[in-house]
Amino acid sequence: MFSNNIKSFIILNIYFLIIVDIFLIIAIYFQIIKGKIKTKLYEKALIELKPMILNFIEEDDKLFDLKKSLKNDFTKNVAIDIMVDYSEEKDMDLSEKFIKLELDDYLIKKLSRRVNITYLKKLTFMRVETAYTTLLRVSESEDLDICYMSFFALSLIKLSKEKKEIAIKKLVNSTILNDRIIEILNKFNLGIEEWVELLEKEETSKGKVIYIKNLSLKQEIKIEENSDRLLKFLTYDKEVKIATILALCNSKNEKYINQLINIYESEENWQVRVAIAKGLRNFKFEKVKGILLIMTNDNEWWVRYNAIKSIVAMGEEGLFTLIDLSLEVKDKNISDLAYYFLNSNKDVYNTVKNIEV
Amino acid sequence: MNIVINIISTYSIIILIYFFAISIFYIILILLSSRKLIDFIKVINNDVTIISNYTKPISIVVPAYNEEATIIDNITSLLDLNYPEFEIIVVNDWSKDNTLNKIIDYFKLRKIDVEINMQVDCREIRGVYSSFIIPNLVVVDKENGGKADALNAGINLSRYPLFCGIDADCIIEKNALLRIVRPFLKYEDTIAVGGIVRIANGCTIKDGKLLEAKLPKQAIVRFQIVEYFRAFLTSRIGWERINALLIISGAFGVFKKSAVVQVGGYSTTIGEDMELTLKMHEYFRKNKLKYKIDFTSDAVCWTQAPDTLKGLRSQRIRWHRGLTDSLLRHKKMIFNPKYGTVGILSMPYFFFVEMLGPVIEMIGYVMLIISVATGTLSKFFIFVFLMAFLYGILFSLSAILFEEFSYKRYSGFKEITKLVIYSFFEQFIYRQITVWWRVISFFNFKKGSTQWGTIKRSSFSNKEE
Repeated sequence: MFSNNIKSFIILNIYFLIIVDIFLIIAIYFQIIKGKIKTKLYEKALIELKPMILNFIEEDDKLFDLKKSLKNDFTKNVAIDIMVDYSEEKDMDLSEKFIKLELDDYLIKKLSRRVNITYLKKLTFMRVETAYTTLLRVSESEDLDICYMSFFALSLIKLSKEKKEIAIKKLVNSTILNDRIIEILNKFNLGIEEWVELLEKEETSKGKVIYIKNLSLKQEIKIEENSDRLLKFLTYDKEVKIATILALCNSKNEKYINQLINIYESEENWQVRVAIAKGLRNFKFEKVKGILLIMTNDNEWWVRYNAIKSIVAMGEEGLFTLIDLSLEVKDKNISDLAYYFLNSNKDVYNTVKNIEV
Repeated sequence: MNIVINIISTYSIIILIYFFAISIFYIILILLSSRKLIDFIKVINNDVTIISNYTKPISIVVPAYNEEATIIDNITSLLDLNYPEFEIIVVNDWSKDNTLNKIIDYFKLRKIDVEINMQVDCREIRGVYSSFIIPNLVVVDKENGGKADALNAGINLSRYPLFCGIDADCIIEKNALLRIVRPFLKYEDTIAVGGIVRIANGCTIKDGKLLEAKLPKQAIVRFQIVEYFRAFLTSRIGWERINALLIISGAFGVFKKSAVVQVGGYSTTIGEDMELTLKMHEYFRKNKLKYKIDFTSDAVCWTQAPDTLKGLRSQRIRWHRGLTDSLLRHKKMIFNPKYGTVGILSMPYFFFVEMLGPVIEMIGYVMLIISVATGTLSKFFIFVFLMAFLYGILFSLSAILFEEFSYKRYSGFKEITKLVIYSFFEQFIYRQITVWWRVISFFNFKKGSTQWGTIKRSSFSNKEE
């Protein structure tokens, strides 16, 4: 049936597979035992080191003894974990303590040999300035987790203005998603003036959108002097224009309403019109009622939908306008849409259910 | 007699080459998975993005047909998900039981009028119900059209850019959405992400929450646990690494709505989940668009596995029919370099191993019986099967090792020992039975494309021990 070569091949294969299967069983049990031993050792080290570390943190005492106890990588990692937990729990900056114990140096050396997300995370929460160069280098990684973590770490460190700007520019040009970039930008402690400067210096559309969105989240955007500086960006491309419209609306400054209406009336791109429909809910209803009602007749569904959504979001006055709209308007699509929003509104329901017909 | 010996002899060589080739292929897949899993475990243990406030809102679509036993538990567990912004759209596909009324009564829903933004085809929607107590819960009642049609209705009702398809008989872990959405937050090109499906039988579940993972008592379910480990922890991770994952499980997957709408939504087939994934691969590769179909092994969905032979038979026949149907619909991708790793690797693998494998294996068993009956059995013929079984055990043990290395849901010597033992026994009888079911699925494989797979469910809370 089989040639001798094939027979030998089969037999060899069977032996090989039996060995591999036995090896796998041993590996499974080894993994269980390893896990249990690791947990026990960690708990033991935690009990031994914690009092010494807390003493060092609170009284800056016995640095030499503690350093002597941190004799290997394992104990150093346990010490870092204890200190990071403590700093988070007490909301304390322990960066100087990490430097005194040379734990920053330990992780920086590890990361210069090989980029590892575990070490990077530990370094992130140390918030040490000494990590700046390493983090900036590591942020160039193609691995998005490493890249994200590096910028997150940079945002937590107290840095000079120049160093911050270098990190921010790198972040804005990174491949991280825009919304996540904005989230990290928010952690960099910069004043509104500095953010506007960065926006004005920025050359790319993507960067401009990010800075404008970031600015629109700041309280200071409500100061006219700051929001006025955004006006020039209304003449840029679609994405920048949309971000600017939403930022201007966020400023709640009524002087922009006419300008927004003019843009709506002349704008061909429906996405820009949607942004205006969304943004107008930030103003007083009486000031934008007219244009929102015009928008309910827009030929684009999303504009109509957002206009009605904005009307609903504006409280009682908006709801009454919507009732009129659902009853009086001749266009069935608009009255249906208005009726849908009314029908799914809790306040309307609670009022209507108490009325006996 | 000589003819019989010659046929058996030739087939032995074929089966030897076949088993050896697929085993080598599978070992490569395991090696790919192990590397990915090691990196992935490091990332999830150190991921700061999980503490980030930034997520994308998700519409959870739950197609339901005769699910009165589990639907309340399911919705309750979904409402308890740890996620900043989501809506739940339950689509009742004209259930014959009390599914709709049970939901309406329990959550105190009322009928509302909606202007539906129809983006993909679906049967007529008879009613939409919502609640003021739970504003993010919507129930859609529609004409019967099958699971795919129900999912399409859910897409039409959804408000958010991402939607998550979840089976009505599943429990999603509290942080699962936060985990499964991660690839969408990292890579702009992500269009679909699958989560891992684990078996809930035997686990302690209360009020729609999984309290403790335990092995069930029934052998038939334990075999399936080993199977699921193999499928999710080795195979899917491996395929994902080369962007050639062909199935995002219908039980738990998140999709970019625009991408799904682009390919026309779900098709009315038995295996609508695989069909959708294949359609997206085909569309994006054909149009040279950048895309990524991902898999996150830490986003967990717990499902009830069939615990009777009848239930398992019906499930496996349906799965295999779905697989065959989808592969045949997209057969032009097989060995077509235009479709990259999907055309060159995963499509041929699924076609020759997953689809035709059971037939090749079953012929082998028939040959074995004939050779025993005719007294022509060679011990080397048995050795070929032994080799195949040892490979099977190797794959199962690798999957258990991966589980123990990564998530350790079934911890302790006792539970793991049981799984190791079952990975041995799986090769005998259970393997042959499932192979047989997959073979018989070829008969009338188009049957049931608009029907729902019906497995008898019991309430999750009854499973509490």
